[in-house]
Amino acid sequence: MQRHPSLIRDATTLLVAFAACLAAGLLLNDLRPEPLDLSYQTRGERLQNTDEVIPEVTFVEARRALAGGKPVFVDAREPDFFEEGHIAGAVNLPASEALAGGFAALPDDRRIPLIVYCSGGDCEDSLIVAAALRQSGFTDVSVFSGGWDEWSAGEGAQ
Amino acid sequence: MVGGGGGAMIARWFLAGVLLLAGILKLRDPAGFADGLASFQLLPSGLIVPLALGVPLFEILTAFALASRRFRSAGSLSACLLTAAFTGFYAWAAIRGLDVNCACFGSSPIFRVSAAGGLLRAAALLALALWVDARLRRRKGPDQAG
Repeated sequence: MQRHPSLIRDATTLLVAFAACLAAGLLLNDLRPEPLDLSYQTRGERLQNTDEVIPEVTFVEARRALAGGKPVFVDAREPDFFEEGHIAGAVNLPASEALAGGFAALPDDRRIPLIVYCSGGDCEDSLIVAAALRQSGFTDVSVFSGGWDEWSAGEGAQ
Repeated sequence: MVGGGGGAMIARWFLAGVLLLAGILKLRDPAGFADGLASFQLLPSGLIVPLALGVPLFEILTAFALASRRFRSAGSLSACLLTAAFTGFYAWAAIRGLDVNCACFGSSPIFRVSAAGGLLRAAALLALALWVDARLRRRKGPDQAG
């Protein structure tokens, strides 16, 4: 029973220390270059809300890039859609995988040009994947916003 | 040959090292830790970011307290509470079958473990922290553990 005073004293110390750490954490957050919003946003929401502008390429530019053979095309759709058809040589990287940091299928060289696409139209997965790639250090990332719809229609028309 | 006191000291320094590493890695990536906390689906969203910002500092402070002479018993009690909390979180995730990534040691894949692995790791650290705390309080005697 004699242990209680030291336990109570330690617990009081911890309470004060914990409150101080919470306050210090909030203060330090304000000093960060990109402070966290205090209301929690998922990683996908944070990436979508970023002000970073990711360059877009047109169908013609994407086709020329493929002919040049240098960039890697990244298909941001789910594997089922990827299996049904994709740009030749494309790597499948769904948004869920990109958000989890699963870039093992991509080259180690972070400077290699990457062109990300999804279905086209209103799909946002290419933007999410592109933002995740940029955050992971890939420096040359662009989005083919026409996506698979435009590509398959364009290639079919050739 | 390490005696009982030496073993407790090594365990205390080991705990301090683990908590210091965990705190520093989380401090470098508070957003990743916030995602980790959210993955347990246990905390209200308003608490996630403040905890993600404050807990790493508290872990670092706990590590220094464990290494100090004056605050070591408060540090060991803190280590018990921290590891108990993480054990509870992982147990909750295991019961609910959640796919969680605590990011307890940052978001690096090197430290990423499954939910079961995380539960085992947290439980092992809790056992160690409890042992260190019990040793400290027994050794120092009543009301002198600090």
